[in-house]
Amino acid sequence: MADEKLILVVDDDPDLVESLSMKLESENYRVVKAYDGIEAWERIKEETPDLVLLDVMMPRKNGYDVCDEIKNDPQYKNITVLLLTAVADAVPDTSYTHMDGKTTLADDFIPKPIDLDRLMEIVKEQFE
Amino acid sequence: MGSVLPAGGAAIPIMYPDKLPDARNAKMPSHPQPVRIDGIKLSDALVLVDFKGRSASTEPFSCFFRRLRQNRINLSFITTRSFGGRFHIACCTASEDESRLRALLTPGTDFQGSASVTTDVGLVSLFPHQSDFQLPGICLSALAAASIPVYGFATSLSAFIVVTDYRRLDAAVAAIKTHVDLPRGYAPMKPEFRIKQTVPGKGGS
Repeated sequence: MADEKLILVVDDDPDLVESLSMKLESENYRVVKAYDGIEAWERIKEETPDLVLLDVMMPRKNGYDVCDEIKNDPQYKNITVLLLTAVADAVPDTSYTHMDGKTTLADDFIPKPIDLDRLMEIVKEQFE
Repeated sequence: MGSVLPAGGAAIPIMYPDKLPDARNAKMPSHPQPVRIDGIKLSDALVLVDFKGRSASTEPFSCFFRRLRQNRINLSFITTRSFGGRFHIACCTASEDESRLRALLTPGTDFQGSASVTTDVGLVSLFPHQSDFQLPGICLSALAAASIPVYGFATSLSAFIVVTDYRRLDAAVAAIKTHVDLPRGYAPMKPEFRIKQTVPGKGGS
């Protein structure tokens, strides 16, 4: 059930975090927020979310590195990671992709600018 | 003072430099409890362009935004207001885009006016404001008490944003931090990259 799922929203744009959180909460998801990669990892350890919406380009630690840490940690590797990226055209595949020569283990990606309805569909699909 | 409607945000009054009260005798009022925020974000050095003019069109801002899009200029901050056929646009962009932005503001058939530029400004964004109007009050009072100039401010969906001197960003943060409650050990976010628009097929990202 959607209302049992906890989603971590990570982006260095506070307005995007707020708008995504509002949308997710309106769909009865629980939401925690982080504004950079370091903070994201702290929230993951504190809250163990079911899904992470993870921006790629962030200060301190980028989304690729956070994704790698999640997926290579036995305790957290089952957390679903959806990358939020403005360069989605460069992503040829979804579950195991290469972008700018970088391998990512993200479960899927969502292109920016974000279509909120499409985002909700993708999030919902992850829990089905 | 006039009212401002920042893109995607709530309307709050804004004060312009020529109308700011003398901050030299400002005292920080006491607030019973610091306002809780999650973070502070700082910008790179920017230029602030103030464009005041008259428009024959009822949509001077549409014209301005169309020119921005055509010229692929990113803005870090913008406020607009219009009244009685006059309008005022205050916006911040990267220093390297200053000349392109000024050229874009060249009076034309659609609007006429004059632009003034303030160099080396920076943005301090506090988030989330949670629609708590204590935060702008506390922030502006703290900056006034520390004699730090405020060239403009606005709210967005989540953030309260102040335009001040780039060279005094750290002092601005220090002044504000004593009156807000941040996570333990928090350090403000500083820019590590800048997003530029490029023409497809001509390189860049």
